[in-house]
Amino acid sequence: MRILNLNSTLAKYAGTWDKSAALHLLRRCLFGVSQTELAESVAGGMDYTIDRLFQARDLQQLPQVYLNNDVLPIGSVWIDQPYDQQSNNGRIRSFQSWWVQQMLQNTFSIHEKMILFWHNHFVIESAVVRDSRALFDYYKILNENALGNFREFAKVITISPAMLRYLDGQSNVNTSPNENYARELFELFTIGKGSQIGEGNYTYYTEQDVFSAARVLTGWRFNNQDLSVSFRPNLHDTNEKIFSDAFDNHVINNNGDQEYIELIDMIFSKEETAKHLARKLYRWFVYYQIDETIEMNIIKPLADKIIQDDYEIVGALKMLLKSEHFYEQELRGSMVKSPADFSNGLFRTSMDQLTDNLSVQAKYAHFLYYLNVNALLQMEISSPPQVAGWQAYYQEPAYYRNWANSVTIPLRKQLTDQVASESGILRGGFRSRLRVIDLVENCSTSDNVREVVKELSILFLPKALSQVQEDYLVQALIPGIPEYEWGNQWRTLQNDPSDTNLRMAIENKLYAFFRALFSLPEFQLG
Amino acid sequence: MNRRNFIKRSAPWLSLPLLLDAMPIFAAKPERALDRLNRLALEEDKILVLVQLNGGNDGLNTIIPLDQYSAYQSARANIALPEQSVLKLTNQTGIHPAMQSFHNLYNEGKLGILQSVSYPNPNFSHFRATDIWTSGSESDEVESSGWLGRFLNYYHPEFPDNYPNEEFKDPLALTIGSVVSQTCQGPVSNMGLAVSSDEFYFPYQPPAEDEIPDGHYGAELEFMKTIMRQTNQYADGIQAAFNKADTLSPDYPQSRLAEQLKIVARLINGGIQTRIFVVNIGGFDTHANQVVAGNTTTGTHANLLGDIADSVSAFMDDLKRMGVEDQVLGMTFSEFGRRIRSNNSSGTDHGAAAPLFVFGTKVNPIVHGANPIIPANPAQNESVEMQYDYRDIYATLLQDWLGADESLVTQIFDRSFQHLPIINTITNIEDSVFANGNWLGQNFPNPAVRSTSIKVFSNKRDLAVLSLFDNNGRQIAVLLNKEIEKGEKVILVDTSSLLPGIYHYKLNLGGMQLSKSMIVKK
Repeated sequence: MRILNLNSTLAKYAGTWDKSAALHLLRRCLFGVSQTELAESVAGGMDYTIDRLFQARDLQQLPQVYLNNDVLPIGSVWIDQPYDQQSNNGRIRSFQSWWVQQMLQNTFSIHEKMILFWHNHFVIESAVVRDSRALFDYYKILNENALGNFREFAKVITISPAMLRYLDGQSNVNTSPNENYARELFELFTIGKGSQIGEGNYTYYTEQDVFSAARVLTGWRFNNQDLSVSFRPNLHDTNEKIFSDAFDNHVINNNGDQEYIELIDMIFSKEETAKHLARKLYRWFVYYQIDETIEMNIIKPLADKIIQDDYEIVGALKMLLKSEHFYEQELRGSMVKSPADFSNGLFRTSMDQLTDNLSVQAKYAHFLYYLNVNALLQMEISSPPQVAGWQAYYQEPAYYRNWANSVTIPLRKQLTDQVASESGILRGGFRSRLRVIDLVENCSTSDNVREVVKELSILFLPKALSQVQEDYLVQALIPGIPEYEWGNQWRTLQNDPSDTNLRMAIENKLYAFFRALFSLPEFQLG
Repeated sequence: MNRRNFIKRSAPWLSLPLLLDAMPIFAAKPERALDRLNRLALEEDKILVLVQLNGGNDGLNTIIPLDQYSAYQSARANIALPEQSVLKLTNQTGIHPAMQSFHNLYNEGKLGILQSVSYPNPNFSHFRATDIWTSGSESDEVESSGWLGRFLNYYHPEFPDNYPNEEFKDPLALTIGSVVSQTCQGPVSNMGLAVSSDEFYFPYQPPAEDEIPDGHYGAELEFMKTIMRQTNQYADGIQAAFNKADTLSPDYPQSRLAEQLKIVARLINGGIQTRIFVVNIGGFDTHANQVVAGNTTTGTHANLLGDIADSVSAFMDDLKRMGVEDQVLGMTFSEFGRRIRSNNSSGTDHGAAAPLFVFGTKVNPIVHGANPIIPANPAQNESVEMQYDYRDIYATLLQDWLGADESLVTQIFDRSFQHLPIINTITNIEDSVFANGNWLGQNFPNPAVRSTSIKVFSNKRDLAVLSLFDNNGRQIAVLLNKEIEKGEKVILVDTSSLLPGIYHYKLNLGGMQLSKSMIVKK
């Protein structure tokens, strides 16, 4: 097998805008794709769809108490309530479940996918932060900055309560600088680590820079009572901080609570910081392999655009998503679905949705279920394995392939077998199953078995079916039955929707079809 | 017979890479050998278990330099362990009191400690340092495959094509958990699989579809097909091995590490062919509050160390009850140690060298190397200096335990290596001399440079006298002169002051005299 050499650039895509192109864009920007979103995008065209994805959105609902061991009644919004030890753990679960809700009920917007991107970038772990209010505050920061200015975002997150606690900023004081945050600020959050070219010299920064930056950041504290952040001059290192020649031997003189701004501006004055972000965006939205050609044709121009826009990221992001490179045939379906894409996407686009009249407990039982499923699949929201985020986005050489192994793939299969069955997911008295009848009804030719199989497969698989696969799936749907029988049965049901026996018979056939469809290796790719 | 010569002569061995040592280890215990024959898959295989400590373990609070206690105490006053609390391994060196069960293992001759392990030009980033430790690369070299991955790939260059097969029915390596180990990453695909619990669920009958398109999409699709096929094909064997055996030791603590090791023990006892296992324990990145203030023997770090010691000891006990103890060798590793000086948050920042543990009945049960030097007033960013290069340890394990020859080991690490006396390779009882059920073993390592160890076995509680003579018959030292318990005893001999040459050691035990010779080199 040959790996092709991609020479395409960021020039605007001028190829065919069809279901395949639209699905590729939507899969990378949303969690799963619904039939209506697909139809709207195909009809609207690329520019329309991208504008639609970048429309502003409002936060819907807020995290609620769903357990009765909280001091507040079930259903209360707890985010602005005082810290309560007894209630805190439950509220952290409420926060995590609520975050999953944002993905499960994502609107037609790239916003939530970008929040997850930033979560994987400016990482925190809830088990270390341990304060539900600080966690919600962290989400709010991601939400407000997700499509904003990278440099200003870095400033906000540096002195946020969650980050001060997560990377020990809270104990970073003049008498004993704690360099935990400073190190990650360079290595992961901004400029990135180059190769080690000398003792303590990582090309773009040095150990000296880490130490100087730690001293710049001494004195920032947050108050456990009310979460307010303050600068304590008496805990701040007032001596001058000298940086290496990687930063032109820049010196930050004593300037109290303004020093961190100068520090971040200094790091962002280097082109490498924009390149580091460009590579991360590329790995998030396109593919993990970055060779010299990609570096030259994509990363460099993307970084130039980011710098030209003074670190506003939307311009560069739209440029990438509209590029001829993005729509390369061999890049479509080249990503092993993350657990969030896999399970949240499955729910969002093809399962019975949670109705408004459900109780808070019932809703949270479902959110919690997906939270736990994602955790089993190695992607627990607000709890990445480490400060570098999830392995899939940095660990050479496997990258996305880290999601799939002999444990997680069988678990994925268990989930799809369950949602595509009579039992579905029963939580809090509400049963959520694959909306099999709806999915067929939304097809353009519902009474032709081969058309149904092909159309539904396009929705869930990256490429059109081969003849062998198509035959296999037709057999999975109507084993040993003449193909015209499907049309007869379907039309009969249309004429008499109250025929529950027939409805169940068709549903069961469709469940079997979807179990087979979801078992294809192609379904794991997006 | 020299094992490496044996290997060279037996060409077919190349296709049986992990069925290593054909010599009967248990010749002296025929009843065990018979039992073992009944467990076909096990035969004489050696098993390596890696315990990865994620986050960078604080070595100075794990193995404590008692000979420099005051310097240690003043460098890290807020987290230093009280001198009396430290469990002594030797007069100079002690172990954290939470590791009581490791102290016991050490006394039983089943635990070795290598001091100050690292590599030149250490890296302080978790991710880069982990990559270095898992790949076996130089500090400034980016190598994306793992050291065990390259080892396995040498013998299984076609993997995963045509695996599993008649000869290799089980995975070549297994990670316990839901992520495959980077250590087993081969040049092309990961040579190992992951298993997580006793539920191995299996699933797929996708239609035959051999056409894989070119390009990135095709590459990912091929990967996905391979994972699914492997999962299906290996599942039954793993499940069968797991179901065949049960946990036998009551000593396992309640912990994730213990759960992982339980699975490893059951799979081994169930006869799985897999020779390499990787387990993990996280939480070692102790920048803050690694001890409880004012009670420094307790807290986060103590809990972690206690978990390792208790889980590994229970694992060893489990293996012993299963009768497979001698086949298993384990090693801990972590991406780096921590600074000599603690910080003001009762924690420690990223450092360099740190000790690692090797465990098993075949380890050389000593403290290798000297205590790290602790300066009177260390700088805030000062780390422990390296004594052992981690690749020399890997290389020795590959050579002495997994049977790779020197040229292969050199190829895997792309450097020559220094062989270390970590493993007692004298497994062949024929190298020992017997009388009345007592025996005297060949010293290890032989030739000796700085030190060597001699094994003595007594069939009852008895007075044993072991003496050392030079080649002219002059007695140089009495190595042992006391009553010893029934069983095996290891005597450590300091040979650093001896002139190079041939020496003889004689054991008077049970009214008989046994003697053997050894070589001392500079």
